[in-house]
Amino acid sequence: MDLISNLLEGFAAVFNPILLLTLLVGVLIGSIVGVLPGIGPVGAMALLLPISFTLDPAAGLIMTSGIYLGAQYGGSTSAILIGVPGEASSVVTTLDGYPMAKKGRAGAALAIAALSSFLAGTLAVVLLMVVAGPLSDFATQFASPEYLMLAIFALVALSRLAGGSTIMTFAAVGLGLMLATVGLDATSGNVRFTFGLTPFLQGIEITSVAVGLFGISEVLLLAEGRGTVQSMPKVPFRSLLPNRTELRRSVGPAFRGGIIGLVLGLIPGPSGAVSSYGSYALEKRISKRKDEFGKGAVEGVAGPEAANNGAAGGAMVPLLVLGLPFNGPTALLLAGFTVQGIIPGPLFMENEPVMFWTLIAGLYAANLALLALNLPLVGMFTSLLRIPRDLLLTFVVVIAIIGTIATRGQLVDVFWLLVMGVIGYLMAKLGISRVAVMLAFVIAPILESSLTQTVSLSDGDPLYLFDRPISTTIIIMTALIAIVPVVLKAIAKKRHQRSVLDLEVDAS
Amino acid sequence: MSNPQDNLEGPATVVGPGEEPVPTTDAGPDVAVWNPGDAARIAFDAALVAIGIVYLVTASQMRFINDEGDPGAGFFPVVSGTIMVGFLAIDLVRLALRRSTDAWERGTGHLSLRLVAILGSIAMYLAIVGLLGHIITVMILTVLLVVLFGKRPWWQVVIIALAVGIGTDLLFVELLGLRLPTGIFRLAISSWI
Repeated sequence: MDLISNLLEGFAAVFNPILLLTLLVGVLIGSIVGVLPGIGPVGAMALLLPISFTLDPAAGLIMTSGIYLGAQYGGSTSAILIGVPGEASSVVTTLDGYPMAKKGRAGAALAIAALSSFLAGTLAVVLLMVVAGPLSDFATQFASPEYLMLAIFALVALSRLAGGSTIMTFAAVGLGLMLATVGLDATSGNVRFTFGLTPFLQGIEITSVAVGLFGISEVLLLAEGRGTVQSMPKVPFRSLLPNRTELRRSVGPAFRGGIIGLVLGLIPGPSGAVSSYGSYALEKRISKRKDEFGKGAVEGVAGPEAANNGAAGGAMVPLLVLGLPFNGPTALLLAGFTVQGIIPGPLFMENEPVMFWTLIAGLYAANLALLALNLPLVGMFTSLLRIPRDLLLTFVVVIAIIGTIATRGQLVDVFWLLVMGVIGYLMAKLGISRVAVMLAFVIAPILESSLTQTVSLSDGDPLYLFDRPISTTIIIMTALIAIVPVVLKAIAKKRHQRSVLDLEVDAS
Repeated sequence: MSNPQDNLEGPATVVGPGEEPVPTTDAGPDVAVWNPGDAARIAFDAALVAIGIVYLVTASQMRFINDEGDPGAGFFPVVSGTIMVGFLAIDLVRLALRRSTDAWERGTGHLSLRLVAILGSIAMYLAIVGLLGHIITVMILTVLLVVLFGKRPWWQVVIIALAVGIGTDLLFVELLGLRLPTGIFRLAISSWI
């Protein structure tokens, strides 16, 4: 009962005119940027994060959450209407969303995507309500060894799931950690890696790293190719209503997709993309209409869209309860928290209950706003796809620069923006995880303090971590996530070799 | 469509199937998109290894363990630098071994000068914004980028530059209250007023 009254208090806080306006602006801006080609949710959040710093903490964080959800939905809009996913987690939506649009059911596909996202958002709020309290109580038992192992677990899991080379993901993690050590060390008071340059004293700002890696590098990638605009189906408002069969067929997949997303959102890595694949694979496997998949099956839109949104909600649990971000967007949210002077973690719910529940209610209201705003405005959003490339590039570069300078008014941040832009571009070209750099950069302060404290506490005993049951469990989980994929790959390879051998024997 | 599993984190910038593209106001022919091969990978790895070694040497000059026997300011940097340099070294060895058994992947296309121009325009902003202030500098930046990537008559370029310069100042400075460099002109105007 307490939970519900707390949530209602959160809603009461959100439904004040200023917060509501901030939320709507966030969702709207996120949707606009999400529709634009080349800028995913992380890029959109990174570009717009500094604007949220000018607002009060609750408004700033709600705006950032709105941008995140809006950008995700914007990516799905272009995926359905023209077959161009705005971001990786919308790729699966193109498989059936775009064929639906070609069959004249674009409006229904957009509505199903929004309704499924809303359902998943609702499930996420329920999960947070149920899990956050007990998990926070449990997490109060965590000390530096547990945080150390949890941070290592997040980075190892990311390296296994981010795609591309695991070795290079670890190298990227190292780079992120190194970047975080520049400037004045808050623990020891020592100046590190400034090379005598005063502007480096304050260290590197998260905005420069995020906007450089995801904003400027995307501009460079966009500049390489010729901008092409597809002709788009017209979506009259009346066609936004899905028919009864479409609705009936969507409920199950959306529910299952939401659950998959929520569970995978609790695991470090690109949970949005992974869960949308997982949901699509599951729906295809259990469907009685397997042959419809890829040709406009409504289940292929409802499941992945719910999964992708559920993952966004699930990823909030480790952020809010443990204070650890497990993916790119939550890393940026943590940066937003830090700038606003809020420390998420086990005591967040207890110490800042109003902020906690306002944020939860804000997430839910953002899903409502997506339904209310995005469907009627779908025509406006898609017309943005026709924006000429010269204006798009200029717009992104200018916003990136302003966003970077605005954070703390230092020109040196533009220098880091440039450096990170070049690094991000080269990493994208070479298939190296950029999220790994950002995540490591954000986690580095927690990692450094917990590592030094653990080393001090251990008194030179290498088995100290194994004396603690929770840290031992996390070590086992880390080992499993590191080893299991390698073993599975080896087994699959062996099976493949055996089947090839069998075929050769049969042929001979 | 490219395999979406290849990159699970970033925006997917694939061009969709189906209809013919319609003409845009973009200038010039297609730029040959650069696909880096193994040589570029080695150059990238080697550059980061060099940075990592300088970093590690600097870190080694800090105290690894302090007087109380606890980790010092150099402890975490040494760990971080070792992770990066170590894994890059493994990647370099892996690439070297691959050459002995298999041919290296060759790159195609080339780095476009347009990319250098974008980076140059940001560097230009960095160099002159302190002197000229945000409005004028961003106007120059806009002119550079629009001329580089668009094909518009000069008056359109001027209008766009004015709109971006004044519009961003109104939105971010006047409305949102952000601090952007003012330069000597704004100071001169303020003192004159």
